[in-house]
Amino acid sequence: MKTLTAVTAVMMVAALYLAFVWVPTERSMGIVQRIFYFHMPSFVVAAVAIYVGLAASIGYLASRDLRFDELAASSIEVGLVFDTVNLATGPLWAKPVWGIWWTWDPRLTSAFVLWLMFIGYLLLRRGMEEPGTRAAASAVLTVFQAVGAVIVYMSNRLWRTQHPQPVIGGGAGSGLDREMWVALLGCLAALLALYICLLQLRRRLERLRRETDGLRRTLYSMS
Amino acid sequence: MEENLKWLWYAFSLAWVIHLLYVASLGRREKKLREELEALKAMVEERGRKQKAAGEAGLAL
Amino acid sequence: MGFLRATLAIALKDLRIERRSREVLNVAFSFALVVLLLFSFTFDPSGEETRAMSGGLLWLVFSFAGTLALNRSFARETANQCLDALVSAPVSGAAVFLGKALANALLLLALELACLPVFGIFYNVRWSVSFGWLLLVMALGTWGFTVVGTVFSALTVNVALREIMLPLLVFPITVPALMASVQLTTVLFTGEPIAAEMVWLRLLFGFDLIFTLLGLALVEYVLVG
Repeated sequence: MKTLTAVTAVMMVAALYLAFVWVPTERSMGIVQRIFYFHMPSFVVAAVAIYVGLAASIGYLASRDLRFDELAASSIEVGLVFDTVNLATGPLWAKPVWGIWWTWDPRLTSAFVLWLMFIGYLLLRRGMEEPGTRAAASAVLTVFQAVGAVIVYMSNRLWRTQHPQPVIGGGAGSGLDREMWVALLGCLAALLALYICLLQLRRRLERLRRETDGLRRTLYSMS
Repeated sequence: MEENLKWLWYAFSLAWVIHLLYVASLGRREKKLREELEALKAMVEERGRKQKAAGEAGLAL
Repeated sequence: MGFLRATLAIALKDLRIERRSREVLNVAFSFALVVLLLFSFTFDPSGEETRAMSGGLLWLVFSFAGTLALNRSFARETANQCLDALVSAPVSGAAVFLGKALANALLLLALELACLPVFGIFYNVRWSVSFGWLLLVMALGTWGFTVVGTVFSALTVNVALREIMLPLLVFPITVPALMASVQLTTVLFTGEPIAAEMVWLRLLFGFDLIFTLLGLALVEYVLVG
């Protein structure tokens, strides 16, 4: 864990350098455009988080091993953090550049729907005590949500082709220079490392909870 | 250009704040769980000692 | 018991309960009327713009009333341990799910058909023009919503604040079905040709297919744990 944290720290510093110093300032949007280098990768990490959650959920349903459930819950919670960052930084980039805080384009709408899905998952878990039923319910929910998220994005894109709207963040065709790609991918790598770090920290919490649950059961059986 | 710099700093700071708040929340929850774990371990030990003593007293009879 | 027979038996059971008690239809229909009333204050019911929004308004009414109905689906089984009896009965979880989903969909469809004339009167919308198409859209849209809602009704049966959790979980997933239904319904209400919107019909059909299959495959895990 210590090496992981150290590596992540180094990658974050490198990413900061890439995004704020190395990459040239974008011509039309100016310095504010640099928000893009941590705004976009945050969404990618959130998407990775839900698909890790999906894999873990399928793993639980197949094996009934609670460790899969712990991984799923941890991934979803960390994913929520990254999606929150995405949703929070988006408007701060959009307002100075495009003059509006928000638009219901496919990307932003999907980010918001994903956020609501994360919240729903975590609230469901909070309302269920028994680990087995909670794990099964969460797993089924994640499968539905992960599939649903893709369909939401696709249907939003379909809607957009019929009702063109202001697209924040440049259209699909807007190109990125080679250096911008490097900065973007560098930041993505650093944020993925951060995701793994936070994931491990969160999983530790689940393991502790499992231990306390076990002790509580022992205590109960002794009385 | 200067005007837009403030937006960049807002976004950057906000991103960091969100992550730091989350790490702080994780730390707080972990501390609580560890304390709970210690308390439970102590209770299990005490219960075990009592039962052992009761068992020996029973045998002695 | 064969799968289809079991499904039918469960669907008929739920429908029979509803026919005797009318608990869902009465409450949900009243609620739908209240929502229609509220909308009349927030939008100008006579404007031309309202006709463009009519599909959206109608489906919002259907969605809100629908969650009331879906909540009851598994909630009514918690009394007298009926749910345990259902789960341990020699019928597959998939049959229980499909039976309940069918019953729910039929109830919702009945509710929606009752709402149509009221909606037409309040908002001066002509809904009888392409009624065949409208019925198809309503059936497909309702089925998509019902299928996801029935699985989640089972999922949330023992959760605190069940009535709020159900819509919170269901709506983000059913957004595409809602979008497609609204788009198609608005086109039918404004009298434009539906041929241009066929892609939405295909999306709706695909949505229904995918989530029906997912429901059939996964509901066993929800019921048994």
